[in-house]
Amino acid sequence: MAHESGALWRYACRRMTHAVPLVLGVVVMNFTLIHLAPGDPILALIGEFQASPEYVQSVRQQFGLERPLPVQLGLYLWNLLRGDFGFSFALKQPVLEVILDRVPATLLLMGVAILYATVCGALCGVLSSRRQYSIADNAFTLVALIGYSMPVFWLGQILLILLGLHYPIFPAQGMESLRESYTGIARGLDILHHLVLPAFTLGLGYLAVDLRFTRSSMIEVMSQDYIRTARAKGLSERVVFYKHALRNALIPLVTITGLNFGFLLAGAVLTETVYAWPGLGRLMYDSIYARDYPVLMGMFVVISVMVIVVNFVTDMVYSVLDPRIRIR
Amino acid sequence: MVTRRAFCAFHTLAALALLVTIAGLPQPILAQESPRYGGTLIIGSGGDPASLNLAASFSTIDTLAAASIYSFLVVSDSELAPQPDLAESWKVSDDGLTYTFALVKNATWHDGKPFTSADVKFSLAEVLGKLHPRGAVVMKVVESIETPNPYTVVLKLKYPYDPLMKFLGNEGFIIAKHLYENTEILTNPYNVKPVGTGPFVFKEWKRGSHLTLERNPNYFKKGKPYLDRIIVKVVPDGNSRMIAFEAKEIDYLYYVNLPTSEVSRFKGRPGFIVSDKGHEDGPSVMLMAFNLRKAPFNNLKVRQAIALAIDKQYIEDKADYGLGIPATGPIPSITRWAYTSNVTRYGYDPKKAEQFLDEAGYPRKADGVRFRTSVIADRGAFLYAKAAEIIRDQLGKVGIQVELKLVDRSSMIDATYVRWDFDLQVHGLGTGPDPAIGVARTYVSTNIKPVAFANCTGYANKEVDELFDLAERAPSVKKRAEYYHKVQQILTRDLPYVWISDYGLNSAWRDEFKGLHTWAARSYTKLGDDTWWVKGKETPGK
Repeated sequence: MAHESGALWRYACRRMTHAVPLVLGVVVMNFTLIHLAPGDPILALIGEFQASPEYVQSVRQQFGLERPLPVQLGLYLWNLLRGDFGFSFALKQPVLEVILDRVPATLLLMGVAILYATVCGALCGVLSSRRQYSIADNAFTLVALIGYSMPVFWLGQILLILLGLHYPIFPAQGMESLRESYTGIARGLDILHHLVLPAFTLGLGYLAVDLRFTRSSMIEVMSQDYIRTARAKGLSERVVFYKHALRNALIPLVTITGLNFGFLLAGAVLTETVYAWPGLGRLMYDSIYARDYPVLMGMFVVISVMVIVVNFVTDMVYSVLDPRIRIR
Repeated sequence: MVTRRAFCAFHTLAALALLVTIAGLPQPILAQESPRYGGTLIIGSGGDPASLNLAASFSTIDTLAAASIYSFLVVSDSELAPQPDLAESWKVSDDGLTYTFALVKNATWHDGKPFTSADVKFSLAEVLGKLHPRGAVVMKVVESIETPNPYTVVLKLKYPYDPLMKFLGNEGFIIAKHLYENTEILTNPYNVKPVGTGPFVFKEWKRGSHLTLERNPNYFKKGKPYLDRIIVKVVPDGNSRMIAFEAKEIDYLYYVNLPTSEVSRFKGRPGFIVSDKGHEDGPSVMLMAFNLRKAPFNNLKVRQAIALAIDKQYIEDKADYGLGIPATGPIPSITRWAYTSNVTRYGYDPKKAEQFLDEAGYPRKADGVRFRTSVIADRGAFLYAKAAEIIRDQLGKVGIQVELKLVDRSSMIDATYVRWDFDLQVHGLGTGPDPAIGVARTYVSTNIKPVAFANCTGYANKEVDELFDLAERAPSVKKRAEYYHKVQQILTRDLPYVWISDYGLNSAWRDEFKGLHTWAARSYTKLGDDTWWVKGKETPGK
């Protein structure tokens, strides 16, 4: 037992040491790419009217943009080590404050999207695999194909027009009702009401992936020797299916969910923009448009750390479920 | 002879008829007669504000969010004439060099401190004059600011300067000295929790979501404001914003947040009002710049040929949805006092264009092409991108092969204004409340600088420089107009640009709200003062 937990600990340390150069690489690469892109944040800050060169220069100095790029990178890394993510050009606020302000909304949206996509995907996948090529299986396959192939931006707009405007069952925009001031449970329900469309939009593609993945995984597991053995022992089909096959078939779903996290964040940029959901995705959209380098850099750091952490946790869970991973 | 009975019967019938007529009138028409109290106005915004200190900001998004918190010294009406705000009256000396403002005595800051002339002096000298790009230009004309008592401000100018009042009336927001003095103004904490003297008090700002303002019960204009709350809701995507407007989650959209393509859909539609009034502070002209440093654009005949090859009406109809009118010159027709139509005109005449190109030494070659060039435009702005696309096609018909370069806004600014690395550029320029503030910058040779929105063409004409200078300093509007008329004639003759469209500016709101866009030149800055809700109550309070 002690040997096993030691192995897990060593595995965790090894994985964590990989994360450090990964984050550093992400920071350096993103910093270079952002600064190589055409456009000037000061020009984005100044509107259609002309500002004097002295004014432009003073703003440039204020944000340290007049320094050579390697110096800016060095300073950025040094400040980052001290926990200073910089100051937003466009929002005139410390970057970390700006980002942390938006994290809860994104986590709520992604959490609900992942949860419903995984649960519904696994459930429908299992039902599909139990009755291969039945009407239900074909219907699920069709829904999965449609769900997977619909771009988030398009699906969001269609749902908005349909369920936000023509049949106004759900609110069209934002995270809460602004004309009323709800508190307590009523506020929670109001947020939930606003969450339905964005979460559905964001999660649908992943539901499709999870469905197809669970279905094929279940079909594969059901042809394994140990299932035949279980059946030969006289176990009921229900026990064989749900106790022996399902547990093993769902293990790869953990990995898929971990991998989906990064893609979901990318999807959140579009979903949050369509539904005016005040999260990280929206912040990224606005910051790209405003060439707000510090916020973009800060977000890349936070998102890459989040993705690395989620993948790390996924690896840990997977290694607990399947000890062969640790040995490799 | 009318009997007493007949007289009474006639009047009774008349009274009944009147009652029936009144009862039959729709409620909003009745309610229009006097403003009502209560209600929440939700304003849709395309982005999050950056700062709510409007004396140091010049962004429309910031102004839309925070204008109702502050007041001006004076406000420009739709004729750009000053009207009272924090200054209840003013006098201008005969030589136009001294402006004396008498301030209201009952205005207080939202934190309870009294408003005085010291606040005005501080705002003008220390903030608007130093940190506001247009304010810095205007305030250079001010020799001194004196405050002989707490309710009088005297501005002494170096020379007569008519644009001063237009700047004060559209952008001169006054901030509190006691909160900003001896602080780093751009990072002062009150930039995100502002304190003003305006009709609404700042309540909360949830970044990325919304900003809430509440009625100021101590507003210095008695009986105002009418609404209980103003909420600014951030919806960055244009399509989603329009869905929210249609679904009545948003009540008001200022023109920058109302896509041009949507204007005709809402115009005349029950429940919505679309208006082109109330944008007199910032008319705009869409134009195409020539890079005069390069051949063949340094040849006037070629520029004239290009102007003749462009069908402005077609661009107006297809790119601007027919909301504006084809432009005739650098000053848009909405700036009535300075505009003249008596200029060199270039109607659509492709045959003449071909003839001019032949004469200029650019005949069609074997492949039918006279020369190759490119046009750059901001791909994010539908109007400019579409106009550039149409211009490419129209110039192609006279043998000029144009490469279309649609890039993001920053890249367009960088290539056009900073590096001057372009042939043709299509863009729109706000001409501002006064040509001295918004027009001159584009044409004077002293402004040929690698700076955004300066003179990017390289056009230099001493006479034009002089005329702009004289127009700025002339003591009377009539004299100023004469100089501007002359400058328009010279510019349309020299043709450093093709002026394409005085494009339309339209804002929209739900018809449950009244009082919007009624009199101010920059109407959205006065929403807090005038807007009222038809379903409100007769008196303020719950």
